Amino acid sequence: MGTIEVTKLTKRYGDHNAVDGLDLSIEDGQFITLLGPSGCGKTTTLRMLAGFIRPDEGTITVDGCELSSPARVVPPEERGMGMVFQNYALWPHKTVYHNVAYGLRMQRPRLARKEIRARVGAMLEVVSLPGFEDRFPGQLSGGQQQRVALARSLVTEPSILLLDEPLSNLDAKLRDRMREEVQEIQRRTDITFVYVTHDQGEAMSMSDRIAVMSSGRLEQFAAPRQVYHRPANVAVADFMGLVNLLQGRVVSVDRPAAAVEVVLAFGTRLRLGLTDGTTVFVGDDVTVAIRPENVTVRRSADAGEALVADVTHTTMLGHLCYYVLDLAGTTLRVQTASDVELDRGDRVSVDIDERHASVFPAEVDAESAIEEERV
Amino acid sequence: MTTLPQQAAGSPRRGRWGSAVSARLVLGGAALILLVLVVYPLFWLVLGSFGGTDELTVSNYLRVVREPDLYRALLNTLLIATGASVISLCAGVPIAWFISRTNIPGKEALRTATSVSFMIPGFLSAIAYVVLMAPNTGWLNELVERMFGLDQGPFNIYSLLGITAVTSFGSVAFVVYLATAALDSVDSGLEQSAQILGASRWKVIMGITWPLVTPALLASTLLVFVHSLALFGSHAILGLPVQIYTLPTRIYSLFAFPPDYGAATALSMVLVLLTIGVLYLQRRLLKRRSYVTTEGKAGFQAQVDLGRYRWPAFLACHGFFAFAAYLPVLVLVLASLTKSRGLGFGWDNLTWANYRYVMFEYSLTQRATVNTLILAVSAATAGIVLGALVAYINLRLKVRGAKVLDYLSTIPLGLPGVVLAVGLVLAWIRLPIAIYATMWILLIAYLTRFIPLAVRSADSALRQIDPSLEEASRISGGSWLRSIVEITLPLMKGGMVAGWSLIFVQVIGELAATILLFSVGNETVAVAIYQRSEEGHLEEVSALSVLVLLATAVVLGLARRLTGASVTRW
Ligand SMILES: Nc1ncnc2c1ncn2[C@@H]1O[C@H](COP(=O)(O)OP(=O)(O)O)[C@@H](O)[C@H]1O
Ligand SMILES: [Mg+2]
Repeated sequence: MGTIEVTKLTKRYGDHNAVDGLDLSIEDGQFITLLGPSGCGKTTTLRMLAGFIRPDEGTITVDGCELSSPARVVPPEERGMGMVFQNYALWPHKTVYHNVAYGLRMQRPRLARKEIRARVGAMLEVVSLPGFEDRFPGQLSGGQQQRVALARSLVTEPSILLLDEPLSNLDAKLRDRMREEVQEIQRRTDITFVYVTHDQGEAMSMSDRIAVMSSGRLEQFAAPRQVYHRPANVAVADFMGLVNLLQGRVVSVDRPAAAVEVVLAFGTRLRLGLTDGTTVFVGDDVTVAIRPENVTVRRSADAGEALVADVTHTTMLGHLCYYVLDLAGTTLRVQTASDVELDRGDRVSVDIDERHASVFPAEVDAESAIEEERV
Repeated sequence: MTTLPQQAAGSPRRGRWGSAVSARLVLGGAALILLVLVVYPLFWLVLGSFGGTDELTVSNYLRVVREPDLYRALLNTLLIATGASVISLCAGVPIAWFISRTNIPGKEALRTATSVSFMIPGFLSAIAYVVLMAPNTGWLNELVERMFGLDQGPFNIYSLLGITAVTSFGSVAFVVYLATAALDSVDSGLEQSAQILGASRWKVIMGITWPLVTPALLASTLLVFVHSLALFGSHAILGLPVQIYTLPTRIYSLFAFPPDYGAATALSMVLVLLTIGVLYLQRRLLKRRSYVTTEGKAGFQAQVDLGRYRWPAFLACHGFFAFAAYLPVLVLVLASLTKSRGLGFGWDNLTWANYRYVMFEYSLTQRATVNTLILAVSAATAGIVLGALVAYINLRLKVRGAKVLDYLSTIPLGLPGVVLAVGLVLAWIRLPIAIYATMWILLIAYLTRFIPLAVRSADSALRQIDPSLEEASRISGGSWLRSIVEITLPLMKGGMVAGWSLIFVQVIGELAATILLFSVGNETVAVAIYQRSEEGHLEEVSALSVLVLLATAVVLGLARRLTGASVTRW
């Protein structure tokens, strides 16, 4: 079992809140990712889960048992969790065998030597490293070290495994392969994984649910698809990938259908679905988030009522093309398959896919807030 | 492929001790030890200088400025320290530059010579120079007398000049170490960009290189100054026979019966304040104007081709080390093998008898050897354990007050050996428990003296270890203590072995504190050497000295083999 209940978790450094009132409820056997820009408090959260840091406020409860509160923290060695560190933290003076066997040797009542040997052997097979028992970590490649770190943390069969950017030190190709392996291990073991990363691609491809964080706060906790297509706010939309943020105004509200009609700065009307929890009124200023792949462009500029724009910049990425368009003074980024060939200065007609656009109440300085976070 | 079984539901395991509680216990224990070792004697020293427990007065300090034999000691000390600093700077900087920046032949030999000059205890160099340059009987004097038919040789090591020279020989290494590190860290790119702009080589050196390394040079010179202030052994051997007193030797002589505690403590305080003041200046200099690191992280170094000056430079450097390192060792070895210094060199004057005598026949030196080994092993072991504890608390435990321990452990840097001994005498003589006049007081003295060294060794070893290694052990189920024993300590082993051997050799050569604290039966080898040299038995003293040098070399060599790195700075 590995259900985790995090309530109002807060950690301060000086007067800066590294983690700020975090609420999370994680079900047993799920793959959860904490996602957010560097410095948003992911590591601090994970280390509070592990028992290395005492929260200033809030509690962490695992399977109904309160493990952390400002008054009492059950020490890491008594939590029965596993953890994979960003730098792997393999012990350089111990062989692969002794690295992996360590957690088993610590168990009370003591395990028989034969059992330890058998379980280490089986575990090394799971991570595809049989026969590496007598090597030292210094004699392994980055990917192999990563596997040993995984094996070491899994061999004790923890109910919860914490992983802090475990793939960030690997090169791109190896990262893709390890991503699949980690996912495969999680599926097979049914251990609750709490995975930290700042890479939204990694988060989306692996997780059952993603907790998007920024500035120590939880912005959204939902399935990858939803976080991507139905972001809870502008910050999430922006963090999940390239997005056009367009200013508009609400012209009508259809409450039963949870839809609004919005007119954009350049005159286009869009009928958009409202995200849960978003309330807008007629006349409100709003921000409309549209991903580049949800805009279609056609070269022919003759269609009467279609939007017309000029191509100002083109980027060819092989399988995809990115274009920057100038739409009556508004910049619009679009993405197309690479067989759509456009050049700078071409005049094109533009079509926005309303189903995948999101609308948010305009915060006065939403744009600048996002810019700050990027820094 | 195997599948992993599910872990059964269960509440987390519970430990009997919260780690916060045990962390505080450890902190408290370490703090208590440091308070007893460092603060307790310091307290009695300060109190004693103000007249002790009965009435507080500054009369002792007034005596320091009024009584000529007290302030003259201060003047001599300043004179010697200044002289030694100047000599060390003048000799050390060129040597460092040759090592760092030129194609001088045999750089490794120069580094080794520097280390040797550093590791020879001062009182052993002094004894070697007595053998060489004592008026009338000194070998060099005899040589010159015979060559030129003089009645009296020209050298007299029993003089301010002699003391200053011998002092500088033991401290030139500070300048060479720090200056080499500073020069190594100045990237030659900086110099070459100036050269490209048309500056001549000389202009580059004066305009770019020296301004960059000057703070480090000044800092190293101040270090020499502080080191020279605290020296006892060489100043006693070369100064006391002719009534040239320095602060440490004056303090020592004030303890002769009847002891004058008042003057001794006041002089000690003067010495402490002087030391602390200069150390403070030195730190500030390094902090404020540190363009260069003193850790010697090498940038790209262009080597100056000395051309036809290569060999002259080689000769000049080794000529200096002839006096600072080679001659003292050679003289001690030769003297230890002669029947009598007066008989001149010849096969019939060679003998092993001195070694046989000090090792197998003379009970004082036998006893002293055993005592020294016991003390060196226990002080090094206890010291490095305490050092590791302080470093660990300071770096790893997130407990309030951890920094205080680190500060406490640096206080002894400001306490010259003789001063520390004065404090210990005053502190422990009044206690009913049998510490004073036993080996324990010596052990306490060594622990206190070398705790800064121990903490620094352990600290730098611990800094190399990523904290996540210990955390990985905790989350794998290892308790706090278990994680330290299984992970942290084994990884610190190299640094701890290095620290251990440094303390070991320092203890073997310790005379300044020992001389005031030993009692009959508890002599150390250093005490035996000092006492027998006062009585003029230089052949037997030389044999003992060679044994000390051998032990030093063997321990440092073994440590180097074990840790794969040089234990001293290089
Ligand atoms: N020990 C610490 N002392 C002070 N500030 C810290 C400490 N650890 C983390 N922080 C601050 O807390 C914030 C969150 O850090 P962290 O959890 O490491 O972020 P992330 O892992 O998401 O990159 C950062 O602003 C960081 O500077
Ligand atoms: Mg992090």
